[in-house]
Amino acid sequence: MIDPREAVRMEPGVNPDIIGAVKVPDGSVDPFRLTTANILAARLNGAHVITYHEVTGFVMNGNRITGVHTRSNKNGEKSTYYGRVTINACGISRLRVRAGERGGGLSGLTAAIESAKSGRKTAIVTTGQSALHFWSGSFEFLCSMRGEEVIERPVERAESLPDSHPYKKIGTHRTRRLLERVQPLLREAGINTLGSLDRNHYRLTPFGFLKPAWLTLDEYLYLDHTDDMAGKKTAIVNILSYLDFYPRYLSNGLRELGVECVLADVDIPELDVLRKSTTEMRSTNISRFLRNDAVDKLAREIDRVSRDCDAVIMPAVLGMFSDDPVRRLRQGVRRPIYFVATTPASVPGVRCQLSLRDYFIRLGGEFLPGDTVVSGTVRNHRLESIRTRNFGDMPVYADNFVISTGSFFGHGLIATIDRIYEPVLGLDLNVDCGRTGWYEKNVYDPQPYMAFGVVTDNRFRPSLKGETVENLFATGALLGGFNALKEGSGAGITLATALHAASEITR
Amino acid sequence: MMTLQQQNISDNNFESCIKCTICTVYCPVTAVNPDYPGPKQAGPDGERYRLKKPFFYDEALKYCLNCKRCEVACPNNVKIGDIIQAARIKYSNHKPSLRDTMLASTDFMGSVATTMAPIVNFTLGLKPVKYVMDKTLKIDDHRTFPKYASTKFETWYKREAAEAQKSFPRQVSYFHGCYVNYNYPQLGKDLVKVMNALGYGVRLLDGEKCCGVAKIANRLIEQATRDGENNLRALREAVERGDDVLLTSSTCCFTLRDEYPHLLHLDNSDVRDHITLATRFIYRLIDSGKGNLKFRKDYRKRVAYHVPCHMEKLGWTIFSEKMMRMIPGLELIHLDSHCCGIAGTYGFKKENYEYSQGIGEPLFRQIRECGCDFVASDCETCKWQIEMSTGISVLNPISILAEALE
Repeated sequence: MIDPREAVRMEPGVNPDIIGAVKVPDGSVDPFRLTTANILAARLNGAHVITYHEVTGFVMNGNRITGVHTRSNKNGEKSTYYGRVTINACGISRLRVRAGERGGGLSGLTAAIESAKSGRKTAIVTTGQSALHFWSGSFEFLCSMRGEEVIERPVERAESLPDSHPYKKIGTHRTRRLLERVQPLLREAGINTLGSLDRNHYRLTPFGFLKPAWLTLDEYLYLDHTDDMAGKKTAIVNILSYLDFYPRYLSNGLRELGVECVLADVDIPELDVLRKSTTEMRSTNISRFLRNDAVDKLAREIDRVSRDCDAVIMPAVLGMFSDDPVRRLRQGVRRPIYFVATTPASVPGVRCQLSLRDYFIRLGGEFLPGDTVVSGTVRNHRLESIRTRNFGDMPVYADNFVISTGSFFGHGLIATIDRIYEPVLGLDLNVDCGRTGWYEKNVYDPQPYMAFGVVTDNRFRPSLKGETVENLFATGALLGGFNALKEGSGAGITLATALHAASEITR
Repeated sequence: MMTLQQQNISDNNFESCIKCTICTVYCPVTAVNPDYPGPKQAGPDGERYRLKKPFFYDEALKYCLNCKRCEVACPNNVKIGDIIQAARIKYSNHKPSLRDTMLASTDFMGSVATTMAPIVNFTLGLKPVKYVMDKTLKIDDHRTFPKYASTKFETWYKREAAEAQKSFPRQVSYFHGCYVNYNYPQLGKDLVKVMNALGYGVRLLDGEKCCGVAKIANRLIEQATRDGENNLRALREAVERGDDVLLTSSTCCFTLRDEYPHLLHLDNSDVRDHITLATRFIYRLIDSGKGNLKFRKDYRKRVAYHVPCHMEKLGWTIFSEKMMRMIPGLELIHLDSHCCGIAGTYGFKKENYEYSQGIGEPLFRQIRECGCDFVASDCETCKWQIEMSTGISVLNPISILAEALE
């Protein structure tokens, strides 16, 4: 224990009114791994882990807490659990993990590819690599409404969204027509997906749950119905000592669906070099060593441990720069192999990002990586030019601009203690309240800040000081008026608004 | 509260790291050398410890190429490469060896070598000499030293060009760098030819010294800072007389603009905007209609463009590429964005040779297979590496432009 004065000296940012502090030996951890390691350790010691439940209240016996009331976030079912000790350890981080499924990268690239295809000179300015690097392998159109149901026929249900929603602004019929172009466009870039807008299918999450989805990469598990795998025997195969894949979660989830699971680790000598450094046994590093003969060796090992199984599930650690290793492995194993997303970075995500980028460059597009747009000049309701950090005093002129800078995560919106703003042009936002109105106290409630974004007309042209900027189109997460996390609609909105912007520009 | 938050912004933005590991995906060293902890671990993660206790400094940080690809990939603008280089400067106990000092002192070695260039070139090419350098100095014997010129570029300029330059109505200044001065004056002559064709006279800086990139990499920081201060004085004089300062080397350009403030803590903000690559200056001039070049009708070349890492970091690839595309009869192949592996003096060191070649291998393969007449690149060390590893010659875009002029 140290006294408050000492604490303030050591950490000037601390609240000066504290009454004491604890000093602990310091270190750094990988937050993704720590969370899962804690859960696994708890489980090994006999704990039951119940996910997707929120605690709604305590069961009291006099002054003692003897249990908790919970509500399932999947179906709203209420339950009560009892324990001798109740520990309150609810963080908020789980809320944000899935936000990475959309972002400027996908939106910007899609709009740019369509624009370049029409023969227009097109350039992309991008700060660093995009959220596709965290990609789960699936795109969602609309999965759930009001957080309490699973939607089967997403386009039909989109009709009942509020008029301010991007799908309604475009029109559901037109949204559908635009999105029907996505699968062919991805195929042209070398990315093969399965799925349809008529009906959601199910994808398998790394935590062993089935979730609805619109498109899924063809190397991932794709189920038409939740019971499609019931009665099947499945080998869940991990690479020995790879930490970012959780066979036990998967098997727990799959067993609930009636799947018989066999767990196994495989290893090949080619991966030994990675074990030199404990921090570097990562999906993307593994993928660099799984090439050529190493893939054949791995296939033999997987074949051996999955004898008498109907299928194999393994982490997506193959094929960062090309999908050749994926195909080679599938040829070498006599059972169907399905991949499951790992924690960052996502190997298929990197491949898709690079495929889209290369496709854009093949179409004659200019890709300007590692650069940031810092300002723009608006004259007579038109964005005349932009300035970037690297181009310095050389402005970039264009007839049309698309802004796909994302939401808070992508720095398309910036929040400080007292305000939220759009940093490039200072576009008008739909934020009409002070700080206390930005969020709900219960982290599981729909959070107002999730629906913040730029104000646009019905053609997604943003406004600046109340006036529409006529040659600028906003797409993706920068737009407001929807809660992509609760709806499971991020990718659909991103792609629909990007294709919409492209059609406005090319018409 | 607000001011407290603003004051807490850390050096090199290291607190903005969200541990996403995207930098590691694009690190060329991680791809080949398992002894290197990777940019995330070597950069922001390790910094966290080093701030606490210098004891945690890991000498494996010397494997960093300083290519800055991690910074180009970072979605949160963390200066990962700068964090690593600053840590090497601050914490490493490893004293630069005689070899490191020799390799890094490009200007000193150059001025000695050019006085007896034929002998030096001959000697450095001899197998027994290479063998001895390999064994005693740990300079890998696979390496070929760039040839020294018998007449320095500066000497040629004073004798042959200086007078004629004065007749041009508009002027630019040229930071030629050690390579042009001591090894390859032809590139400097090409720049003079191109600028003259555009109606510009070319002036040299008063007492240019090495930009310092090799000295920074080899942690000869005092010398690098001294040279840097001298260069800034010379740059200021040029800017005050109204000149933009042009370079033909992407790495020298990057060093003057960004490494000076970030690693040597030299404030260049008053001149930074005037320091530019010749290709960017020329593209801008022609694109805005203020300049015009006439090209040969019979020029037919298939050229593969390799973008140097520091060019990618500068974000100016588009200018060199667009400028080359202005040449009728030039077919440009854009090679994949890939480090060639040499990183200046890095690849000359025996302990790095194997990794250096491993990093560059995919690029060499693509060059060998693409059927080009030659390779274009804005960096001299990429040129040595690609020429040695593929046998195909490499030209600076300015030299290509000069060759294609009518």
